[in-house]
Amino acid sequence: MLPRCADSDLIDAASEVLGMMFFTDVMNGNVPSEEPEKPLTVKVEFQGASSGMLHMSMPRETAEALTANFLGLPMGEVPTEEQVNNVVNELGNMVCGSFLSKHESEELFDLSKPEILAASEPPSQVATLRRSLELDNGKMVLALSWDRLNPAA
Amino acid sequence: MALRVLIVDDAPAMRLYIRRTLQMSGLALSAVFEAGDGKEGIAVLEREHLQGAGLDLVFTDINMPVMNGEEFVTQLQQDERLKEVPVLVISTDATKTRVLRLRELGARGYISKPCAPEMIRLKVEQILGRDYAAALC
Repeated sequence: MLPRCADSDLIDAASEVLGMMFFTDVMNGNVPSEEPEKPLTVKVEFQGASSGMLHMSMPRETAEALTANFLGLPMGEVPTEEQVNNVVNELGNMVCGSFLSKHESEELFDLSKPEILAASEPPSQVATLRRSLELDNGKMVLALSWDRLNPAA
Repeated sequence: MALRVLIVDDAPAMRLYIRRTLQMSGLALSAVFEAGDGKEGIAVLEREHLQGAGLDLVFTDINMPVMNGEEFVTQLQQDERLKEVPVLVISTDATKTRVLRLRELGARGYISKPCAPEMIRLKVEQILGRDYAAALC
């Protein structure tokens, strides 16, 4: 069973991060799930009252557009692979941290260093929440998995 | 009065974001230093202090390798030469427990990510006061 309000907290966290720091709007927070081809995926693990991980996947074109917005690159300039990886790592870190701050605001958490993965699917866990987002400049898939749930959440 | 600022964050993209935001906010900056963790940050502060050119403000993340943000703030507070340098924490971890702990350790302000550029400017004004507000466009 998924933690209460996790769904809305995850969408809110992603929308706030993308809107405030990436100048990107979430047009639809629950589009039919469609795995992007050769996605760029970042994983962030969290440990605290509950533990688990966030996987965030997106097509490279989306990652490049978000990177250009975040870094304020001139129109038409394509970011380097290193810039894209750095920014996608930071995006995963911010969405995971923002979600935890909303969802379990009284608890302390430790986040792992974000890691770019070859595969997009999270391993099977106690509970997994998966949402596909349509952005105004692309799309992304969020998968939040818990291996231990906080009974108080 | 132009500011000398240190940004401590292990994410190069975030360091660049903060630097760019400071530059675009209209703050008068005379120097912006960067460090990838708290230990590097301490080294920058000590070096600049020894050269007689202290820093006006430090931004720091929490989750970092080698020396995290809490350890960094704690170590600064234990150093008589550096304890007066105001530290502004900027992090995704905005849980109430974490914010309270950082205040107790000596951090002067806290910004939770995501944050709009205006929030960074506002916090800088709050911490540094009116003398620096005059340096704003």
